[in-house]
Amino acid sequence: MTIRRYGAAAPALALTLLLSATGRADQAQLDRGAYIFNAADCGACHTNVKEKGRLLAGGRPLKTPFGTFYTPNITPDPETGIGRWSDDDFKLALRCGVSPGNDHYFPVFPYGSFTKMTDQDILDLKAYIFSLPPVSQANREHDIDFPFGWRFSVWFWKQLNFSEGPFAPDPAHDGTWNRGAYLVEALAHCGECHTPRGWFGGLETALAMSGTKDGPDGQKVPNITPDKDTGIGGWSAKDIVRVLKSGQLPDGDFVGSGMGEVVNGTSKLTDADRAAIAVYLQSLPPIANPEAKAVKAE
Amino acid sequence: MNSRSRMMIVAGLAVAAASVGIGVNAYGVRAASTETAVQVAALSPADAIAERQKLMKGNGAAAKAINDFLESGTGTADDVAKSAASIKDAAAKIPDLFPPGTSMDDNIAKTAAKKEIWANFDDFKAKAQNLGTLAAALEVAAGTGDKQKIADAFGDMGKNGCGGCHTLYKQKTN
Repeated sequence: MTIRRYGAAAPALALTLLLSATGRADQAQLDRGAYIFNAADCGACHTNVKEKGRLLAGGRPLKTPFGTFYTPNITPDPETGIGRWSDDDFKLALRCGVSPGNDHYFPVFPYGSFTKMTDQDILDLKAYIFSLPPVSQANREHDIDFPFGWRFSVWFWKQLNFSEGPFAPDPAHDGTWNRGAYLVEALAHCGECHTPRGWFGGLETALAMSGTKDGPDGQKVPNITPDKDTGIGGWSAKDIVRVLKSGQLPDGDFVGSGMGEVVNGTSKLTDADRAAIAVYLQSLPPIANPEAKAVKAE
Repeated sequence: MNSRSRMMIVAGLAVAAASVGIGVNAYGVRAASTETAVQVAALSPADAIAERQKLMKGNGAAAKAINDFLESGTGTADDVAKSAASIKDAAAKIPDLFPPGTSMDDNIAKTAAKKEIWANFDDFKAKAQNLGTLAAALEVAAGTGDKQKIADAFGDMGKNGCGGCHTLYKQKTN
C-alpha cells in the first residue's frame, strides 16, 4: 500500500519534515505534541499501568470479542519500539492503519479515528513521542481467536469499515463546533467505545455515541447523545465539562473503569477544548438506548 | 457482539478463505490469573455490599454538595469542611466493607466491585487511605475559606482519591 493524499501538504508540513529530518523538534512543536498525546490518551493503552509498566512500553492486555490484544511498545527504542520509524511510517500507521512492514493493524488500534487527524497534529505527536525515554521491551504476541488473527480478516474489515482521510470542517458550523467535532471524532476517539459495534466489529455510525452494553473488557459504555431519558440530554454543558475535567458525574460520583483513564487525558485539555467537546456532543442527534443509560442530571 | 453474529463472521471468512486459498494462524491459550484473599469478613457478604453502597452514596452526596458550593455558591466553607470530614471517615471504613467473596463475579448482589480488588488488596487499601489523606487536606483547605484552595483540594481528592480507585476497581454497571 502506498501513501496517498499528500496533495494538500502545506509549506508548514515541509518545514516540519525538514526540522525532524535534522533531528531538531522545537519546543513549541513538543508542547503541541504533548497536548495531542493527552487528548488522544496514547499512554492509557500503550502503558501496562496495572503491572506498573513503563510509559508507552506497551504490553497492556485489551480484551475484545475477538481475543486479547497486547499493545505494542511505542517508545523511541530502535529495537523494540518505533525508534526507526520515519515521519512517513508514523503517518502511514495513523492515517492508513498500516505498519512500516506493510501489515494492516488490527482496528483495536483506533486508526479509524486517528485517520481524521491533521498532518500537522500527527507530526507534532510523533515529535513528542520521540522526545520521551526509550524503553527496551519486546512486544507480546496477540492472543486472538480464529480467524481474526489472520491479516486477510483485517483487510476485509477495512473494506467494510474504514474510510481514510483527515477531518473536513463543516462550514455550516462555527469554529467551536468544528474543534469539538475534531476532538471527539479524531483525537479523543470517543466513538471507539461510545459507539456500538455491529457485524464484525465495525462502528455502527448511524448509532454514533449512543453507548453499548458490550464495551471494552465487557463493560457498559453509556449513551452520550443528548437523549433525555437514556443519554445526557438532561446534562448542562457544565456537567459535560466537569466530567472531562475531574471525572465527577452530575450525581456526585466519580467515573471509573475506562472513562477514569480517559479523564487522565481530558483533564489536561484547555477549558476551551472541553467546552468545544460539550458543544459538539450536545449538537448530536439524540438516540435512545435503554441498554446503556447515562447517569441522570437533576 | 453476540455469539450468533460471531458464527456468521467465522462462516463468512471461512468461505472467503477457501475462495482465496490463504493459510491461517492459530494462537495460544490464555494464562490463568491467581487471586489472594487477605481479609477476614466481619459482615455477611450481602450486608457488606449493602453497607458499602450506602457509604459510597453518602460520599457521592458529599462530593456533590462540595461541587455545588464551588459552582453555585450553595452552602458555606464550613459545610465543605463537614462534607470532607465525612468522606475522610468513610474512607477509613472502606477496606472492611470489601470482604473476600463480594465481587461482581460472586453474584451475591448487584455490585460494581471488580475482582481485581482482591488480587491487589494492599493497593486497594492504600488507595482508600489516600482518599482519607486527600479528604483531610480538603478539610484543611475548607478551614481557610479560600475558594481556590478548596477547588484545588477538591479536584485532587475527586480525580485521584475517588477516581483513582474507581478507574482500576469499579465496573460501570447501571
